[in-house]
Amino acid sequence: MIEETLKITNKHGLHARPAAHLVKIAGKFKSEVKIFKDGLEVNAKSIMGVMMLAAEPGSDVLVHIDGEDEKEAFIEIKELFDNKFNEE
Amino acid sequence: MKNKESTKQIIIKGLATAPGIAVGSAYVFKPFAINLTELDSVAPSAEEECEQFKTARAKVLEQLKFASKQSLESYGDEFSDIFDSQIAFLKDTLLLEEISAKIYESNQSAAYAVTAVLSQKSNHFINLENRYFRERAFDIIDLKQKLLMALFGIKIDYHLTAPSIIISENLSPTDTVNFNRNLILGFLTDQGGKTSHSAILARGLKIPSVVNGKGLSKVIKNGDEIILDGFEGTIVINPEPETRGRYLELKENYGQRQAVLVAENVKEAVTKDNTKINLLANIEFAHELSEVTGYDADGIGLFRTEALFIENNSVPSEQEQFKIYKKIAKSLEKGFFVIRTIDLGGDKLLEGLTDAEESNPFLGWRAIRFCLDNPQIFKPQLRAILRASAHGNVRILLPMISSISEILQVKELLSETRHELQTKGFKIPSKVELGVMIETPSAAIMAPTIGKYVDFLSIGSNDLTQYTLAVDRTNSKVAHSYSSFDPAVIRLMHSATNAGIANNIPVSICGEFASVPSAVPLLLAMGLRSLSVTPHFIPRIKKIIRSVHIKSCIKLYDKIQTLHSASEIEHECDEFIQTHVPELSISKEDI
Repeated sequence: MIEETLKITNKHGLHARPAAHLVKIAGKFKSEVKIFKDGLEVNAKSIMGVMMLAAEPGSDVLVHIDGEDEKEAFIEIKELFDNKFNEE
Repeated sequence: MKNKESTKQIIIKGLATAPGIAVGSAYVFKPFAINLTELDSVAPSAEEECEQFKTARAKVLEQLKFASKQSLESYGDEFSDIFDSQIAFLKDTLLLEEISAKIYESNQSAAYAVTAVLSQKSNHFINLENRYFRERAFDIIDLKQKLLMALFGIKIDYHLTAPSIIISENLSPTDTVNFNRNLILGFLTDQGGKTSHSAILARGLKIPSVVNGKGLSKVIKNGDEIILDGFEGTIVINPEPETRGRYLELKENYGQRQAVLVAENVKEAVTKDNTKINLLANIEFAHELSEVTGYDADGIGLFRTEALFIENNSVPSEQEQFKIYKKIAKSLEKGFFVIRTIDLGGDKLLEGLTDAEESNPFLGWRAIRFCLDNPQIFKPQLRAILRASAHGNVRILLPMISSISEILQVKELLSETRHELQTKGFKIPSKVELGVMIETPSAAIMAPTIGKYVDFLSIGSNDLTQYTLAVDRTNSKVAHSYSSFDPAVIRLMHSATNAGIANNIPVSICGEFASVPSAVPLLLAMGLRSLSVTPHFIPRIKKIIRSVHIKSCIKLYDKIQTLHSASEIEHECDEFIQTHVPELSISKEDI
């Protein structure tokens, strides 16, 4: 199990497009990917879930990955956060 | 269809939200709405319900892809985002599973499960603070309705067979894009205002639009003949042949004249004796920028910021405001960008903030008075404006100034704000020009002194008229006395203009008076060289400017100084326009 806090640094936060990128990457892996923010827990493979976080720029989210390919999943997800969701 | 015997002409006054005249038959559009309690709750077979849900989902997905394509083609990407996020939701496997699970666990219909799951999601979004995420609630509600309609086999008929005036309680952007825009003559909605989505869209598409506020969508029937006057807000149901003829003529005149004027608009705004006049634009939304450039305005003379606050009935954050101001500042091709700080109060109320209980709201807690008492609202706006000024030629304009001490207070607040921003590392230009509206008699009288404290003046003719004549033009018993042609109002405007000239600072006018054709010669005679008007009036005002000599305007002005009533003055000015700009001689309803 990998758990780490990541910061949202893109311009608008987890709007529809960046959320779609995240869901697409999370969906590639067998591991369970959950995101926690402000007491809310959502599945990162659901766009509805990710958008429900209403994560604004500058906010922190806790990413929780559990499963056989968790390392690969974490690397790619972290990269996506670092690259500002390939937005800018 | 229309029955000759039972139809009587009805004339109703509404709110004009997009200019133009529409004459045609009604298409009454009913947005679909359903109540969860009305849903069939007989226990069906869960497998069958899941199958039905799958079919409905596929159908809606198809519709959305079509709508997204339509929207992109006809409206650009402004609205296609809405459909794209709905499409993404319909492709969300986990969401689909949640709905199926709900069917099994509740042992109820697919419609029930769709309603239960999606209502819970939209309720989550509607309570969020961030505007973007909060607005997603409406996408989900809309999506829910589409799924329910597909499940019940209800089809909304967006198919117009003939050019029609769309009549509806309300219109969502989704509804709007589903109609063939070439067949839409006009919009008449029960609800909405100048800032509602349908009004904004209508203005962008140049489709006349009126809001009636009286539930006419329940009275008007398909095929009823309707006239919409998007200038005056007049609605005529079942017009008599004479009324119909008059409006058709107005419509044709307007259309022809506008076409000629727009074609001539490429020319410069100079008088016959070669005086250049600045024609600026009054706007309230960033998307109106296309009109500013389309009509070749020399800059933005007035950006009303109230709409940003009223639109969502909430205070936009500094960042949200900054983004909008910056966008406009950066994309403005020429001239400067005057941002007027919020003018709330009076008839523009913000729930929970402004005071609705005032006995005399126009003499009360509005505009700059409200702002100075609410630094937690005013300062973020000043910060956003100062930050945006690094990205273009931004100027600040203060509304409803009635004393010099108000100007001094704002100046102090501004320098404090500037200092705070600079300590945080923001780069603010060393000079951001500050101007005031001359719209109270006290400001007009004190204009020569006010001019020493500010960088420019802008005459607000609407409020100046109402305060000078002590007439509330929304009160039908006294509204007939409201006229900016009144000699007292004209004298005040003239002395404010002189105050600007004497102090060697720019002075302009941004009220409605500047777009009244027969007022233009008077304004030029006073010495005004900057007029700020709604963008679509620019071609008309430019035509007048190009048809007159300043000399002859001054002659007219000398003549009207001997007249003592608004109606005499207006009549004289009308005649002047008829002589010098015969192409524009039109009846008043046309304005």
